[in-house]
Amino acid sequence: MSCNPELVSAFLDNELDSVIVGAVTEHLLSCDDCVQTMTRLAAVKAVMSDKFMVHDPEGLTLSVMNVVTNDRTAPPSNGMMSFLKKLGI
Amino acid sequence: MGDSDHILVDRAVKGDQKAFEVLVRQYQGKVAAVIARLIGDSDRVRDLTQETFIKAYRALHSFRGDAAFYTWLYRIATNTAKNHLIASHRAPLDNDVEMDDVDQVAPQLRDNDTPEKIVLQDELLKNFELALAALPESMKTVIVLRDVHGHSYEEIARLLQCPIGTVRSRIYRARQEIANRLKHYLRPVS
Repeated sequence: MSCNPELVSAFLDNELDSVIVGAVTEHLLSCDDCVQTMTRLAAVKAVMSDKFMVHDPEGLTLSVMNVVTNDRTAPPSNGMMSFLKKLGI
Repeated sequence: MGDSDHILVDRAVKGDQKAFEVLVRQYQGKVAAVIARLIGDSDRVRDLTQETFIKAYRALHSFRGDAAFYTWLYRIATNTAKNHLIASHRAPLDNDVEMDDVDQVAPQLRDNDTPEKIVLQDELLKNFELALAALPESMKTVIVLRDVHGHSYEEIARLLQCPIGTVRSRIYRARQEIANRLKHYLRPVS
């Protein structure tokens, strides 16, 4: 799937057809340009609806992800949870 | 939960941090706005928004998906703001937000909002109003119907008697125009 900022905007509104939502989500996971577009559009959506905007939203995302990446208390995966349940833990 | 949230949460729980990053990008503005309404301290809004997402990440495996992801995130954000207010002996600024167990420990204060910060938010909102006013009427109408009144694309298409594709395109172009005019605020803080 190629970059389509209109679909990114519709993604933010949860207005994508069910047949393409998976493809757009996959695209966002692999395209830095489109996730940065999404960040800008989401900031505008917030200021429209809530009259508040985070300055430098890209920087805020990076700060969160920097902590998450180095987090030692990362969420166990479903597989790990099932394994623990099997062990009765 | 919307399909995309479902996909992203599932992947994040399985260890895909990029999926969690997309959720952060999608919801950080809304989370920050909720916290700002409660605490009114623009410096702390950023820190508490970060704290909210880190708590959400750590608790992600306990999210069962019977409520919308944003509803779950909203609760973490209000609890994070509540804990901050209790720790700093302040009362929430916005009583409309669900904060049922917060003690009214102090008068409503904005003691950490310096004049510079207030001017910056006021300046941003003024520029936003100018950007909105400068939009062509066709774009302004659709974005207000969507983001202020909360109408679906289908409802907007029906109201304006135009195809849904036109609604989607105008909403995107309106947001892009506003983003261009507010680019100074979207850049990294120097």
